[in-house]
Amino acid sequence: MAIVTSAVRKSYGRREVLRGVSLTVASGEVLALLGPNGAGKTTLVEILEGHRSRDSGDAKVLGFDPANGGRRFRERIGIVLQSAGLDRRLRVGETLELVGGYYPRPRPVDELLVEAGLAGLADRRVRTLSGGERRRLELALALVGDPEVVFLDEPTTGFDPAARRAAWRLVGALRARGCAVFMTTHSMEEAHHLADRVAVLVDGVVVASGPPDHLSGPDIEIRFSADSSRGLSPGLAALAVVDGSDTVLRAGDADAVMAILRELYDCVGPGGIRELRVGRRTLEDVYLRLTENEMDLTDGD
Amino acid sequence: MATEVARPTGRSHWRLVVRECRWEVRLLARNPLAGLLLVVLPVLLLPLVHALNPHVRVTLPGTPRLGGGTIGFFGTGAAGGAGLMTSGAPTAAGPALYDQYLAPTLAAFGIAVASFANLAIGLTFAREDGSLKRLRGTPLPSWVHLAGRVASSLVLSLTIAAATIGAGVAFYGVVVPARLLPAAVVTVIVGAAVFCALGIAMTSALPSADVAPAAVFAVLLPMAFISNTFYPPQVEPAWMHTVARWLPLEPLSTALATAFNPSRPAPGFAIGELGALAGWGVVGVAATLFWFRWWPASERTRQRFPLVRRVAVPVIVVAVIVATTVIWLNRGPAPASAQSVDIGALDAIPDGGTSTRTIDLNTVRELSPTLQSSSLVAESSRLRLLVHRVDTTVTVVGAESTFTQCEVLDRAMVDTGWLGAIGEDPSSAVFVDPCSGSVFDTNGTCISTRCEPLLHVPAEIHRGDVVVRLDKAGLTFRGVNGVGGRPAAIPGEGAATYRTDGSDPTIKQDDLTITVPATITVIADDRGLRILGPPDHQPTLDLGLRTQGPLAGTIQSIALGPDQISTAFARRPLRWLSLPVGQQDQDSASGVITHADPTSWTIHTTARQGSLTMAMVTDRPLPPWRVISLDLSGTTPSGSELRIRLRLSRAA
Repeated sequence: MAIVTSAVRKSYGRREVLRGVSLTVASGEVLALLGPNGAGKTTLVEILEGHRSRDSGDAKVLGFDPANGGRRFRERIGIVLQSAGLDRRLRVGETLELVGGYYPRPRPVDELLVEAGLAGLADRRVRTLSGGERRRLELALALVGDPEVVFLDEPTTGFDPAARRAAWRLVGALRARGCAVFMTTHSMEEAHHLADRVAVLVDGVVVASGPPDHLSGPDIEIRFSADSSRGLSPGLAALAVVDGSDTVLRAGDADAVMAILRELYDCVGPGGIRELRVGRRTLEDVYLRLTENEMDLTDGD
Repeated sequence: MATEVARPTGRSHWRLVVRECRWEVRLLARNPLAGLLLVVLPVLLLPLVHALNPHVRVTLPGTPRLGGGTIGFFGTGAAGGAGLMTSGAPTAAGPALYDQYLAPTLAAFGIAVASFANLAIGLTFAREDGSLKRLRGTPLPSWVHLAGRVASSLVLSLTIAAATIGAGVAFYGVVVPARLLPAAVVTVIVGAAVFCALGIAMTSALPSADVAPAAVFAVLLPMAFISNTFYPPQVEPAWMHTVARWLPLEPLSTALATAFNPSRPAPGFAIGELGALAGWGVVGVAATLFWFRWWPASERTRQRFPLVRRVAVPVIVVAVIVATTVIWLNRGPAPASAQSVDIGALDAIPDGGTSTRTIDLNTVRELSPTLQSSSLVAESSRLRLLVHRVDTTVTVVGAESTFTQCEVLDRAMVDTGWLGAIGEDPSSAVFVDPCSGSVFDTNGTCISTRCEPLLHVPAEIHRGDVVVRLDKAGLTFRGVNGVGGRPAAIPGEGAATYRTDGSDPTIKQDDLTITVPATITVIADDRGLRILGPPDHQPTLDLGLRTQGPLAGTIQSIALGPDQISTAFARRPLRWLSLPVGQQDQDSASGVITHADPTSWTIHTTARQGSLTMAMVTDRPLPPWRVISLDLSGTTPSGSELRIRLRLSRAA
């Protein structure tokens, strides 16, 4: 395992930010860490990067304790921080050359530029880069030392769709090289697309983890707005869940969906429902439900 | 890639430091505002400050100090009286051109900008935009990055120092003593390193990049202003100078000016100043270790009250300390009466006589340690002595009822040149550059290129004695109003001993009595008592004098006349005299003393031991002289008279 954490805890003052986080990431695996703002995602990433210390629990990255991994540890990891941290006076190529010099086996600058979608920008000053270009440069910087583990803290924030796709290809390439990728993101689409596994961190605790498809589960949702004057049959009413103005019914397979829809039509008649949607639950749905519940729970404490 | 060589780990640390340094220098050079302007700034200031201070002379720091004070005599012989003015620091060399002081001082300022401001601002920006945090995630050891930045600041500092001094050499005649160059380079490096440490430490007091430039220059500029960066040192009030000496820039300026002081022997290290700098270096390193953070202020969550802990507390502590110091140091001279020590009415002085009253200024609480300026005002028969700062005893001897006003001495005049005599207007004051003979008024305006016309002093103003008190601390008071009695009372022919105690001069045929004419300087210190003329000729004749017994009490009169010499060397001007106590060898050289008619002076000394040596120099070789005897007379502590009489004869 490239990354192993068990029961990592961290407090800032009296506020406990991580309350026993256990995760693993294998080489060649992409783990996406999801969670609402303030859940402790960045804290966890920065503990694994060696930027922050943990209060208790165990963390190993490439066999090193990141808290005191030292130079040899950092030679083998790559980091994209949430905030920038580029020297605005440098040119793009110089930045890669300068930072590459810190590593024993830096990757060629030209290759990195192409990979990060910065080809042709080598002589541009960092100051003049757009936000997306700057973020791509940071991504390239994380890769300059040919790392075995890469930490990406919200790496595609500010990317346009094309750049995002390019970044995703880049992460895919990393995975293909056998690199372990530990990323945080707010983009469910990104997590769904990139991650081999997703972990949802809420209030310092991993509330769910697994492959994205497993998390979203097998159910198919039937979602619609119903006119309140027309009642559902007792059977459907028992199954229905009201979600705001929507009514939601769940079915295990396509046949069940058809059966429910037929019964629904019988109950409400023509024009009785609006905005009918039938589909698999998205990761976002799962995430929102998880975080919502968890927040309700913590609020109740 | 085939060309890549796999290494188990990266480059060696020191090569990385050099690499970081080269990148930093490259980036500085790339940004003309940050890089080039830093180098150019002190060079730009040089002509400006120079233009603001024309004709100013400065006693360079590190000039071998000979004691506590200097007296200049200005006499015109029989035509009039002789003047006496005092000056501040007595030194082996005369005051130097201000530029010789200004160039190193501006270089020191440039070093502070290049190191302190550059690092404090640059690091704060790098910290706030996350660069430092990102660096911490790379294999580059964090100290290597800091070391690279420090090294680049050293390079920049050396460049700035070289540019500033070079401009001084090219345009303002600044002298670079080659023997002191190692000291200069070491001082620049030490200073830059210390200011780097302080700059790095400063970042922890800067909560955001926005405030960094303003805060850094809010610290640096006032410090530069009180550290003699933009004006001659004598302009500065003493309390301000005291504050500056506790700050890091003044020691660096002084150490650097010392390293460019031509009168300084090798190696020229200003040990005290470098020590003070080292102390600040320790402060900077300690503060860095304790407070320095790599993370942007916004991301630091550990501290509950980071602003209070990091900024407010140190700032408040420093502010309180500084404010207390300033107030404490400044409390003395505020009311005018505190500067004035009324020593009471002098007894009526008989014609040609003296009256003595001694006050111990240690008993005056308002006075600070070193005499730096004094003013003597006689109001009718009362003598009011205004002394700003005196460490030991001031003895005032003699004044007469017709004496209306003597001289106001202040540091600007004292250190800028030698004070001249009183003009026709008794309240006027002038000072004379003994090297050029130019006369300046108190504003530093050149009045005359020759001093003679102004040296004519009405005799009735010009009565009284020169009083010098010599003790362990050196010369602690620099004179009163005039020299001798009426010049007419001094016989022009034959050897004479003239004393200002009113007794008639007695001609002693066997004595060689040398008159001290025109412009000379009396220096008293732990090495002895010397009388120097203007410095420009080599000594060619030494007259050794020995006391017949240990020196004790007050030497009241040393009377030397030109007659013996004048008979043999009528047209040869006397160069200088020296009366060192306890030391035989003098290496000081002085300049022309215009031959003049006899006059005399009185020296009060409390030297307790040692032999008295007197040396005299003319502009061409004189036959060897042998001391026959030296008689001492004057008032000993027990009250008996002590008198010096010099007796010389030609060597056989």
